[in-house]
Amino acid sequence: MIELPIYGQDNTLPAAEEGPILGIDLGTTHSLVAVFQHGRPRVLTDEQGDPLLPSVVAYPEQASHNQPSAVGREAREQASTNPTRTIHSVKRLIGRSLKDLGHELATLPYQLASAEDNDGVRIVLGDLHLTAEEVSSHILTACRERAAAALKMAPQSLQRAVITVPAYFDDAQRQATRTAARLAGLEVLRLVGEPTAAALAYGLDKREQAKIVVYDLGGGTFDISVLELADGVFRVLSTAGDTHLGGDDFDRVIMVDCAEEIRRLHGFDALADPESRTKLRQIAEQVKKTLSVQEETEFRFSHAASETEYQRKIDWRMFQRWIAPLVQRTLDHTALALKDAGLRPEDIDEVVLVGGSTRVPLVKAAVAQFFGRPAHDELDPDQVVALGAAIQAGILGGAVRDALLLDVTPLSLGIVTADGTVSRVIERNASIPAQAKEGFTTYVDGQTAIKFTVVQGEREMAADNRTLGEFELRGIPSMPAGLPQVAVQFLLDANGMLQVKAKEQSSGIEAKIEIAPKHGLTDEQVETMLQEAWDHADQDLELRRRAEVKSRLDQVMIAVTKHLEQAKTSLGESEWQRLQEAYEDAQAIDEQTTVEGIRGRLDELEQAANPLAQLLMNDVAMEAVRDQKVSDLLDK
Amino acid sequence: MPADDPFRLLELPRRYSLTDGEMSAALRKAGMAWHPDRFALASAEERDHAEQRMADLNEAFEQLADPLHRIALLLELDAKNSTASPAFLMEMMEFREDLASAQDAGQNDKVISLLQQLGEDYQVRLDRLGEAAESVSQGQSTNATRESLGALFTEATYLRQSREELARQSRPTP
Repeated sequence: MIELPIYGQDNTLPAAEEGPILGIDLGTTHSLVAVFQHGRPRVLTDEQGDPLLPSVVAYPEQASHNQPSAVGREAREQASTNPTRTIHSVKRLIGRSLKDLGHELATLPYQLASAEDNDGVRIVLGDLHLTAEEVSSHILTACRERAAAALKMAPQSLQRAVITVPAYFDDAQRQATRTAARLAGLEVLRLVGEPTAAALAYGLDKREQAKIVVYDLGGGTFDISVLELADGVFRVLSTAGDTHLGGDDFDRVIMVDCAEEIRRLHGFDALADPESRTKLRQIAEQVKKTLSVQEETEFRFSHAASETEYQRKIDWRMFQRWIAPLVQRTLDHTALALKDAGLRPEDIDEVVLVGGSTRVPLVKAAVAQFFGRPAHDELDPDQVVALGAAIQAGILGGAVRDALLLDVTPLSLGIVTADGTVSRVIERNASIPAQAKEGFTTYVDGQTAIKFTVVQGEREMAADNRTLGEFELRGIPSMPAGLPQVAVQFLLDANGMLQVKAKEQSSGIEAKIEIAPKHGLTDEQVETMLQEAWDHADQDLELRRRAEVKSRLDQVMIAVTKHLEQAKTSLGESEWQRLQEAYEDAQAIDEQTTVEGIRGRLDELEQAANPLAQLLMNDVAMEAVRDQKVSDLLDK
Repeated sequence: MPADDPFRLLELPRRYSLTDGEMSAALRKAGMAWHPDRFALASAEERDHAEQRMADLNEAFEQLADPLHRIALLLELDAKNSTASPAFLMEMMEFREDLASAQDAGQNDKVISLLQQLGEDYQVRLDRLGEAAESVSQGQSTNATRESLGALFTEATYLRQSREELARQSRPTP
């Protein structure tokens, strides 16, 4: 069970020993946290040894503020019983406006709104309005908590992180990711591109020159990136992909084909029944995983109410036939990315596989065939990006001295001139940190102030680029137009943050700004959120503990309900009575019941349900389930 | 020698004939010592210093990687203070007229060969300047006068700008 974090307590505790810098892969489907220790990167797991933390956050029924009831695996487990308050794939929303999202909106199960004062989206869950930054911060907090538990350190000693983002993330999305980290009490030392992190994990930065392709097929997204490595500097040459293509689609094709057969053979439409649908998807996922290591397996599904007993042998050839069109789509995107980069498959020196779905043998083979060379699969594809993040954390922490990740700015930066065109000051692909100086002057006699608008983008007209910020140089001595000499200096730091200074030479007056994009949350909004979290810390802890135990209890109750009939007929008299009582006690829980009260009833119900679980176990292979919990068994 | 001399910043010999490999190895070596990532946990002051220093190094590298800029540094030339020869100016006027009429007539082959000519004219001047710069950097004198070098430099700069400008214009419009 994930211990739920509390905001704001950091300051109240004595200064702890400073822990390592975290490397976090904040993913669409799941997230990972890693550290660099004892000379190597290492992914940290939960108590059960699972490295993946589902990027899923659930919020309680009557929530007055933004504290989640569950994050990670637990949130995913309760998703089917709490679908309207469970948020998946928030990464699709971060740093995006309603306009940016466009047709994506239709695919989201929850409602989105846009606040008046900024264009970042809000997720609407009844009275609760959440920003994507807040939801992401809850995932990051869970990562931090996991790291604290794994390292046996206080969470407040883990305050710094390297976080990975997709190569195509724009400034607003990157900034929003930083804000999410800040809300989780983490200082982002560096955002690293996911493909770059993957290349770093494989030590490809040691090569002098190379053209690298990173093929990243995750649960729900596909990204292909073409990188060029020249003298230790990674440049992203092109990216392409499909934000709705991944391993989940592999599960779906298995599920759909089997559901079709079930309908034909048994007349039961399993897809129309939400519970059966969830079950089918879980079985399909298991079948897919098995087929990555075995030649054939069995799809077994039963549904008591409709007397459906379905069993089907599925071998890898069938699976391969089903997913072939999906794999072809990834190759089409790959060809597109290569074309954008002006390269052919044979120009590529290294191919790196990322994402759990690249374990599927057909995917691996198709990629190898496309490039005419085997792809790197030595590292766990789920962990590659997190391992790279940990190496960058090692570089920043001083543990890694022989590597250095040199980066470039993906977009040009410029200043808007009087006629609305852009005077480019730092060109795209310049190594960062980068600097540039440019001279400007007044265009009206007696003009005493110049307004500078800083834009990012490759277009000639200012209006076509993204405005990053504006500032004004005031107090210029009154002179005829064109006489004042204003030197503007840009300094783009290694984090891609821009500092602009303007100085009028004759008077020596200066102005400067740090550019934070207008898009996203303002500093004040972030402060308010942090303050609110602080104010509610105690109440939150209680609420979250309660919600956690309650959701666990709900799961066990649902599981027991499913097998009540069988329990009644098969259990002994006293066992049945005990289960019945425990179940009724659990049902009697209301708003007044304390956390301890709920926990007591949960324990009792789990124990009372044990004989039932034993009974059901006879149907299942003992080996496979020995370590599972009662509720897991009852779920089967 | 100015304080922010790119050769000195990158600890490279003041020579024209530097290879790309030599220059990027120098940047990498300097980066290993000065990149802000090496100062991630240092004080804000040290970090700012490293940011500025690495920005200087990256800028120095960009300058040295450009052969014309390398020549300007070694021969202490400045396009603003030199003038092209009258003959060159006449040539360029003719070139522009030829190019415009070829473009109007849709003679693509002619346009391409004119642009190639422009590139070759640039290369000839760059080679001659490079030779002079290499001699100077090895402490030998050149038989070219300062005025002639200045003129060559201005012409090379002009030719390169024209070529880039024309390449941009002839790019297909989306």
